[in-house]
Amino acid sequence: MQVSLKTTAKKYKATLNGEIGFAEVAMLHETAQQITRNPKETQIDWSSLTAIHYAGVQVLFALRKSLEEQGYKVQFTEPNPQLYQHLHTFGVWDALIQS
Amino acid sequence: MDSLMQLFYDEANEMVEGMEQVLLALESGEPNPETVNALFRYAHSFKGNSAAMGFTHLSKFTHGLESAMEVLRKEQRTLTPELATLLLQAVDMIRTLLERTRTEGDVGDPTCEPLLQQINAVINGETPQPTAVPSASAPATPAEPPAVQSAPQYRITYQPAPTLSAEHDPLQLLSELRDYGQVLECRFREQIPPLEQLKTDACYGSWELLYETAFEPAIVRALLELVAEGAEVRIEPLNAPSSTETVQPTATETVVAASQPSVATPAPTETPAATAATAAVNTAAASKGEAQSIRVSTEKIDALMNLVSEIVIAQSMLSSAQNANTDERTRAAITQMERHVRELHERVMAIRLLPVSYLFNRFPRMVRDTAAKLGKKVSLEIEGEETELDRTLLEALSDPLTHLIRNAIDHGIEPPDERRQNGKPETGTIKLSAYQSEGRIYIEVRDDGRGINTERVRQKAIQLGWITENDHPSEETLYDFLFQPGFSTAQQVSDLSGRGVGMDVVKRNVESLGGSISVQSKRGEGTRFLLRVPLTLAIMDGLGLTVADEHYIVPLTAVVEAFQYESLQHTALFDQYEMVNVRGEFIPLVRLRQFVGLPETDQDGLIVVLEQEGEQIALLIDGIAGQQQVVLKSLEENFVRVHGFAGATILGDGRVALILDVSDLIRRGRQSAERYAAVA
Repeated sequence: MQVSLKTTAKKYKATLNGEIGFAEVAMLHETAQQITRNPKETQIDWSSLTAIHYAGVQVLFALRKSLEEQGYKVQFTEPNPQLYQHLHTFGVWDALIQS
Repeated sequence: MDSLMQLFYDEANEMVEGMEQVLLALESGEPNPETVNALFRYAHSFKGNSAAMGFTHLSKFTHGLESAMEVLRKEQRTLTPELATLLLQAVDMIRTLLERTRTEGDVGDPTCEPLLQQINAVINGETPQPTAVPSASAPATPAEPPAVQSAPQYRITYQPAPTLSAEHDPLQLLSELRDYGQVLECRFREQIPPLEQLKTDACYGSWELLYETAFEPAIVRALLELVAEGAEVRIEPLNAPSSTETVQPTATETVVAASQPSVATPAPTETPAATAATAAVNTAAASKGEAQSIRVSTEKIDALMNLVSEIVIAQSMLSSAQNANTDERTRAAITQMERHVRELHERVMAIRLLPVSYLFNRFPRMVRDTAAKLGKKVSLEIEGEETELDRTLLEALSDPLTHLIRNAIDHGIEPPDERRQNGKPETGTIKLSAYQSEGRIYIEVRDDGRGINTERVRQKAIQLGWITENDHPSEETLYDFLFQPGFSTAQQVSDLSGRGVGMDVVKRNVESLGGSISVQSKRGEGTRFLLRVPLTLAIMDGLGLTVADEHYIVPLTAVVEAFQYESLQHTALFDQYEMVNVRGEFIPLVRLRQFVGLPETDQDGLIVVLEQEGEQIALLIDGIAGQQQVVLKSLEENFVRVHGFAGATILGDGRVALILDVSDLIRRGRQSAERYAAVA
């Protein structure tokens, strides 16, 4: 799993690759904290993500809430079809993109 | 192999054994909810662990198995012999898959799926379909979901357990539901806080599903509830609203999760079989205790024990170095050191001790399968499984005990018809028991079968030329023939007990451990084999004996008394067969000088009376060198086995002393006793 974070003056782009298991959630959490310490509009690109533990999903929810509280938007790219199906079936995808 | 993988295999082996024990106990005893729960938890933990290690086939197979076991857990089906056999086959399959992960990787087995289908068919009361071997590429998915068109629908409310972990992923659990039915609707209620308040291992959120499945609601509940204690699952059949099933963790389970890693204490009313199963579960569960124990490789413990042995020798040397000029402070320090070294030895030795259940637990399955193969009915009773024994000894006893128990089933226990005709219950009993006495461990294998035909043994001995037609040896001597190489009767060879491991090998193995074996039998009533082994192979308390300038050691536990020998006191019969009169009782005499090949002396010496299993001998020696802890060193690592000696040790002054084998001395003494009895 890789979490990479690119930043411009106005925006972050966090790219998630591979699988985010429970062990990798800490890294994702650290990246999210990095974003909220100096908040900007953020794009989460998880098109190359193949699986994610629910704890990781919670981090993305929490990040979105924190940024929105500070007036910034979070944009999620489409996940890959399998992951989308997984998240959509159980209502998680729809809840995540609603703001 | 990395430590994580080793830990996985250690736990996996314990879980497989635990599952087998629980199944056997369930089969033979009354249904008990706690043991059934334990069975389910084993399967569930196994699934989680194997998934975490990336062993997909193992994980999927145990996933299917846990679903089947869930029905048992809910007490909806009884464990019929047919189902028990299938579930035991499933345990074997797990063993196979586990072994393959070591050698071939995560390759699976094409018979997994048919086996699961058979199990599900039996549980659901269907006639098992002939098992078609699927193609190698067939996915090892759980049981085929039934057609969903006419399947019942349920409304499920799922509040996951509050703590997330690598195993506990609610989304993954929900995903598994799709293997068993169809998710028609799903509502996610997220209660996730902003990042500043988020705890990454806490679970925020719940789900409400409309779900269609032909499987039992209990399976659904099991899928969602059991990775982590504390989940709340509510299942409401939509066509029968009054039968809402609210499933929450039971009080017992809550207690377990909150306060201790092992399962709850069994109810006092449970059956012995269930108690045994629960105990087995507790043992395995306790082994997973986080704060109560750690795993340490046996190599490390062996190295520690070797080091302690060297310290014992060094301490012994220090004690020997004391003389009249040693000052009081040094003497006190040496005495204190002796005490600490002894305690250190005892504590390290205790680390190596394991309950014999570690060994005994493998036998119920063997007895069950062997008896079934021979068309016999055999019940195995186990006693004293909490008795502790050195790990090395336990492993070394496995083959001898396996052979003795197989023999008992094959040759001892009669077929049901024969037993009935003889007025015995159709089911024969083999009793395996262990206990500690006088610093030794006793393991007994007793059956209530037909007993040993001593006349047949005698005829065979005549045929072998070991005795003549005119000889009528005692029963003990005849039984000893059973342990001689080359002794067997045609009836004693079968594919079960004649596997090239004869009774002579059993005896040799036991004796190589510093132990002994004896047999008692009564025609028509049964046979009893008694194995005696030392508590540990490493260090023992010994009594030093001297003849000429040589030192010998006997285990202190075998010493009854010692007294001055007066030649008039003993009764010489003829040649080397002598008896000593000890307060009116005649005890066989063994002269140690003669025994070790030293010339006799005219000087009177000392008699040391040694006893084992109620038999005594008088050992004539020159003197006593004192009591000391000795470190046992095997002779057989460098030399062939020498009868009469159990090993060697290094004395405090650096000399080597041989340790006498009391069993062998007693056997020699018995010959004298028989001669004496014949003459008297």
